[in-house]
Amino acid sequence: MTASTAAAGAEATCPACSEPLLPGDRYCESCGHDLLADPAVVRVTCAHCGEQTEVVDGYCSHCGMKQPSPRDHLERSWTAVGAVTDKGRAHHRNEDAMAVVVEAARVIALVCDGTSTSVDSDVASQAAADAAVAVLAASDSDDPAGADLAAAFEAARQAVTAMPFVRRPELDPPTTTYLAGVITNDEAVLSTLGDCRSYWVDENGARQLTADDSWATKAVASGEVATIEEAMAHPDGHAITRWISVDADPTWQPRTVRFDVPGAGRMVLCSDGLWNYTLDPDTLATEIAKAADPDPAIVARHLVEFANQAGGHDNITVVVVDLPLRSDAGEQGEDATDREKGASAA
Amino acid sequence: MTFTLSAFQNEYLPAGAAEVHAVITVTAGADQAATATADKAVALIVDTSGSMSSPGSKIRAARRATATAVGLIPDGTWFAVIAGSHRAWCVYPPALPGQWPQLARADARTRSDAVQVAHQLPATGGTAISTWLELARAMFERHPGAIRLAYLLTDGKNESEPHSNLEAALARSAGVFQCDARGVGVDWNVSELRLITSTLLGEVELIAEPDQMDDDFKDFLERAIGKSVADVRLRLWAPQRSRLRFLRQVAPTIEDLTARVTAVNALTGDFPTGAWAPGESRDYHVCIEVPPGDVADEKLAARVNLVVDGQPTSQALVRAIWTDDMALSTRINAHVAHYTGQEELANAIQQGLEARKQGDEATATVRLGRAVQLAHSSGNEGTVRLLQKVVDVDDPATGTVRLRRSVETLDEMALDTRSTRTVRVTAKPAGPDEGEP
Repeated sequence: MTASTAAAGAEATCPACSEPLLPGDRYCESCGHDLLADPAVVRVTCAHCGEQTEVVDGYCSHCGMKQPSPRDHLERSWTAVGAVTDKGRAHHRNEDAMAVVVEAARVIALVCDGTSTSVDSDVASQAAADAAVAVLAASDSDDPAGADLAAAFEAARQAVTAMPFVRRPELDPPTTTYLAGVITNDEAVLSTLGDCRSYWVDENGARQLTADDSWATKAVASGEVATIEEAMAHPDGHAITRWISVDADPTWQPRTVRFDVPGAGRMVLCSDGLWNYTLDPDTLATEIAKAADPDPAIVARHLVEFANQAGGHDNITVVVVDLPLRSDAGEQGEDATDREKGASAA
Repeated sequence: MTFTLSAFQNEYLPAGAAEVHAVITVTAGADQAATATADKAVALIVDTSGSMSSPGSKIRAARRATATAVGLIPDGTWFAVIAGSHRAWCVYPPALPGQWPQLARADARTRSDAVQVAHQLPATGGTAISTWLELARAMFERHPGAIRLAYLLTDGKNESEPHSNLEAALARSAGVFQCDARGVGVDWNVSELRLITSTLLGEVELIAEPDQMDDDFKDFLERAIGKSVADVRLRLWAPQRSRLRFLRQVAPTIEDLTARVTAVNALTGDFPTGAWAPGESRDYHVCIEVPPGDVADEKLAARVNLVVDGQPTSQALVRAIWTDDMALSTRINAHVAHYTGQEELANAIQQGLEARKQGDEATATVRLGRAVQLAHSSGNEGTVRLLQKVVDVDDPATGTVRLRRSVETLDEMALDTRSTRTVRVTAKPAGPDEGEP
């Protein structure tokens, strides 16, 4: 029941009170029933074949096509932060996950990318993000250095390694990458395992703050290949060297980067669905400039659209944090559905 | 009794692909006590044609085995002993004057009476199997809710009637009762008995020597007594514009169920699987052709439900996900690959034996060689041993074989009979299934 459902024109009624639902509803306007959580069968117009049909287990009972899922495209918006995740154009589901907590003086953001060759990677990435953000948000200190990043990572690792799953010989167990950021006006602390990235973007351009645990990074560092472009074109270009899963080395710890915020600018946390298309950080700065909007949510959405237009070969997640945080940083923006309406009306 | 269904497949397809394969494993829970067991009805159908007395050891063994089996029937089980020749005669229980015979309920007295009658089974006349099946059907039809199982023993071909009679009787009997068939000696026809067991959800076996009958009758009875759910069906939903290529039972034996469908609605059909015992497990290979999807599309290619005594229970989903990631779409699912091999093995044996019969030695050598290779690589040792009586194996890994000059008819028939018996996927290497460090 997201913006993408609205685009597909699905119509439905509330399984609890039978009142009509509007596309994009997450809760029933009439009775408050939680629609995202309700597994009940809802008769809808199939987004693919157009039949009035029952959706069972997420599939159209007529043509069998998977119906749009809330995870396919999610947007969250605050005055200081915009966060968008999208399944892209080549993957059948969104295995990226994000979690964001915005406070007056700090922002906590998680971006996790479930690997497509593993079982239930969409569940793994969300479990990791939710577990870590809970630990970080529980910290009393506004000083990022005071946040227990090690405990947050351990919580994410526990959540993923404890989740039940059916092992399949041809797939890996649930696997995800991990990027956590605790960001204030003076300092950001970033903690990463895998290949989600963080960038600082200001009037001087964009620069990458965290290094990837990836074959490509290693190959460039060792001189095996000359450029990152060359490395990414290699068959192993997208292979990561560290990750969270039951099969991962339990001693793997995320690398931690402390960054002194130099002044006004934007912190961008993203999955490789975006940075695959911005190998040159200048491209990222250029695209942000093209968005030409003070609203970080518009910037985040623009970057997702940019990645989709470039091919959308992977799931795309972008969190944009505007610094310095203003006093109303934590105020909620309009919700995604209203934005859609505003955008189409404009 | 609860059932679990699991689907094994590689759901990832390259763009443009339309064929979706999956292996569905159905396992009955061991919790027999939780369910009231259905009534059981058993018919022992024994060939009493003249050929059973040449040599006389056959009819004597059949009398002995029938008597032994009858003596083991538990109290409360419905049963009958049918003597079959060019006509069928219910030797126990005897029909009341002017009435059709009816199944007897087992107790000390009926068992003892039936044992007496079993020792007097005749051996005269021809062979018209349709009459045997028709009599069994008429008696079973009076017990619609029961688990209805027949055991048919013959030593010859169905030569006293046109083949169409047998086909018609089978068509009427399907869904009324299940039937195992046993051929004694070398004068019966494997494909004839296989037709009976395929249609009536049973298994065909060869009994080489009359003195093996006793144990085989006992085995049948034990299996029959073990069944506790009468009617289990696989219900398969497949999306609009899709086509079911096939649905086959692939373990413990290969049985094509595709044509056995009963439509439930436009997109859903039921396939019979017969009666089940607690703890029993079978595998099914399903292949569905769906309209090809675009990259990133995900489609439900089939929903498989188990329908137990009319009630839909557990389900398994067969998916199709189209991807441009070759690392995903080229992965081979071990279950699907294994049973694709076992199905080819059965075909290779049957085609090889047929070619040998026709005198086409080149084809026979190639097909039986391929069979040796497949049986060897999948660990189907029982079939390897039977193949070795028909061909000399130079190298099982490559399937290099030479046809044997003289082959016992019995060995050839044993191989043919057992060609549809499969082995299950080799267990994974030892180790915990989940949560390894």
